[in-house]
Amino acid sequence: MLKDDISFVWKNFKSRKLRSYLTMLGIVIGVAAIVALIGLGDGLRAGITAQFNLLGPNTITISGTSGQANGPPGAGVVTPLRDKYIDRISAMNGVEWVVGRNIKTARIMYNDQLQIKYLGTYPDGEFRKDFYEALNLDVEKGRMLQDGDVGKVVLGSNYLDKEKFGKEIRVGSNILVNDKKFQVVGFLKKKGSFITDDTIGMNPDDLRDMYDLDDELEAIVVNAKEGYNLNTLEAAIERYLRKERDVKEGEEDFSVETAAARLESMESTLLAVQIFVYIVAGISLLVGGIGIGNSMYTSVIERTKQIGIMKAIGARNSQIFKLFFIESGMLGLIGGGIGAFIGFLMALAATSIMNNFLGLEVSSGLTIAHILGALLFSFSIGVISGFAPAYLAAKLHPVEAMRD
Amino acid sequence: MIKDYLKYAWNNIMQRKVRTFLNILSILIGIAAVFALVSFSEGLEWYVQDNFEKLGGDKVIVFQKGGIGEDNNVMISDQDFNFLKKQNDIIEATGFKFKSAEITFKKEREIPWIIGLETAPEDVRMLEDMSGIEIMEGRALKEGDKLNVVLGYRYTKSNDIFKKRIKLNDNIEIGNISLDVIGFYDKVGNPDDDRNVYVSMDGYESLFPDDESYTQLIGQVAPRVDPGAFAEKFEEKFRKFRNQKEGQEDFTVDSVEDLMETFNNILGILQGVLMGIVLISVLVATVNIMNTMFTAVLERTQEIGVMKAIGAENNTIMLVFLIESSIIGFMGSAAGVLIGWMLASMGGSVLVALNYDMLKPIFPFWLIASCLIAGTLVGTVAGLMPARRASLLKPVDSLRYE
Repeated sequence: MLKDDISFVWKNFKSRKLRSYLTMLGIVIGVAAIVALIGLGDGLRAGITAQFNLLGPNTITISGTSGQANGPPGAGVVTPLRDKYIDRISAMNGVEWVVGRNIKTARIMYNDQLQIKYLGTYPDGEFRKDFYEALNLDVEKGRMLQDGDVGKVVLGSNYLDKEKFGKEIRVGSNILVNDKKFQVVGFLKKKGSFITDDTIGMNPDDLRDMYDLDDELEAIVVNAKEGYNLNTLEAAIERYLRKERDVKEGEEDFSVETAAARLESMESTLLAVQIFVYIVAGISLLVGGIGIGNSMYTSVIERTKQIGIMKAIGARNSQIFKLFFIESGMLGLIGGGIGAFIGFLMALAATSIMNNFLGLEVSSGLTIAHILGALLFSFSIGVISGFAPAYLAAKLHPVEAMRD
Repeated sequence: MIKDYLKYAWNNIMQRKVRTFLNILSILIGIAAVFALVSFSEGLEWYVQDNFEKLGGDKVIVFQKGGIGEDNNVMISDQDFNFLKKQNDIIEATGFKFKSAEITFKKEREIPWIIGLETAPEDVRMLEDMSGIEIMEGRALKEGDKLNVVLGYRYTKSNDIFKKRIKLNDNIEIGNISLDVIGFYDKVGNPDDDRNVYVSMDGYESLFPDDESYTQLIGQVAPRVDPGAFAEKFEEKFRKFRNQKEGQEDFTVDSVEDLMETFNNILGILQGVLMGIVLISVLVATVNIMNTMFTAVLERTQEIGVMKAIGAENNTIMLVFLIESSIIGFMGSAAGVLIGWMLASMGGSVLVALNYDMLKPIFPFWLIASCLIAGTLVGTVAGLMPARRASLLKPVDSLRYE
């Protein structure tokens, strides 16, 4: 039965080839645009999120300000974090390890060129390895910093670029950090994060010496034991810090954030932008849907007589409805299929162009689910736009229709 | 003649109301989106021009390199400030220090920019010019002020930055030092600048004694001096003055004009991308209209045959169909402009409520006109192929067509 329906629809389809193609073309364009933008958008979002997702999912970060300040970590701090917090937090339930970090901006000079860059410490002592592991840090060339290294730095992967200072920096080269000579012992592997890849790492003693720091810290990173509830730990740390820094609840001059929470605000902004773009692109799909509706409506008018005859020889309303319904669904589905294919190719092309020109490492985030979703969506658009015309056709009065 | 054609086309359009409506709908959506989009970005461009280019066009800015302004990486001292002041082409100069720092009001905290400024009347005027703001309540900072602050617009609203609005003579705290609120600035139009905190340089120095360097120096060049060219020349002079070799300079000099140009370029790219996406829907609408017109040609094949048989020329037939599709395009774009206008106005008032006055849309005449013309042209273009097909029909065949 369904086979008959489809072959009937197919014949109709072919009898007005040009217009069927045009109707489909509308859907093809709309779906291709959406699929391409979704691929690009998801890829970009994943890429940007990766830039900030430096620490593992089990980490909690503490900073010395009540909220986000403009500028580098440490900006806006009134009461800095202290080394002594580390011991107290280490003793809490569910804590695997705790490290403190100093992060500054510094004058970096090489080949007589000056740049201002981030300078960060890698923790000394027993948790150094854990920290490297949590950040997934490894060297591309040379070696990582070790305990006892004095006057040594490890550079992010950006410094492998010869253009950066107009002359290649090698393992063993000397660079000036705030006019003090440091020897480069290694380069990190590319992380795809503009912060890590651009940062200069040194041991805490060197940095604290240079900035004349005592026990102040810009950030404390806490790693929870696998499976321990992060929110419980977060609350415990907050309670302790309120007592330690003598502030009341709701008046905190520090912030404690889980990795998930940090990503969340970031992701929600990106998602909002993405959704806006999808809506704008969705407009064309909507217009394509209107095209299907229009075409089906025309088809009902053109076939009024035919419908009358079909009804006269016993076709039921539901059968007529089905015929038109299938036709519009097919228009949506075929158009959607071609569109998804073209959109997929466009997303691939666009991401590879972006990666080449902007040096990003974005992959189109398209999955089978996206493609199936696009097909389902375009099929539904076809079906929805065909609904009213199909209903119109089904309700035609046989005698009136034949007289048309 | 043309009146007859118009009437004929109109009658035909009216005979297939549903399809005409669907066609109008498909084009109006795209036109409305384009109209709304452009009205917003024009509004932003106008805001920037009105607030900054008009007042900042003759100014150059000296920045610390890196643009981060922390950790005392770059020292721009009083000597440097005087060096800028002494330039022949500079008629006035001022310097700012700013820092992102925590303020407390009734135990609530916020981290805005604290801006330290010189308090001579001409320095205050430079600040007000640069940000396009005026005092709304109370007074501006003046010489002799120390622990007094002037606040941005948003502090005058409750449940915005703080639960309670700040009033004149209230106190806020920065790092345990209490400051007296003596005035409020009017809206800048973006939420970040409208929460700025302004203090005198004396006050700034007692709040942040370690912060010795100016964050920015601003110079106003004499009339007839090109600010861009001056910025370039001054960069070299300043480097020599600071005994730095090329490549080692730890500052940058830019004219406000150049900065605005960069901004406008970015805005242009953004607008282009969004427009590109929106225009896809106009393309789809074109296809829809084309489809309808092909149908119209088919339906009226006999009619065309009759018209030809009684002497209508190919061109006339073509013209009639083109007029028809253009009318659809025009009606669609007129409705689109109307709906786009409504959408943009609504969106604009939402944004103003969210402190983004800078994003208020504007509706210049050229935008309305070009949307109408473009929409009509879309109709015309969509009608080209079907109209040509109609015009080339053979009279005898068409008469026979069923």
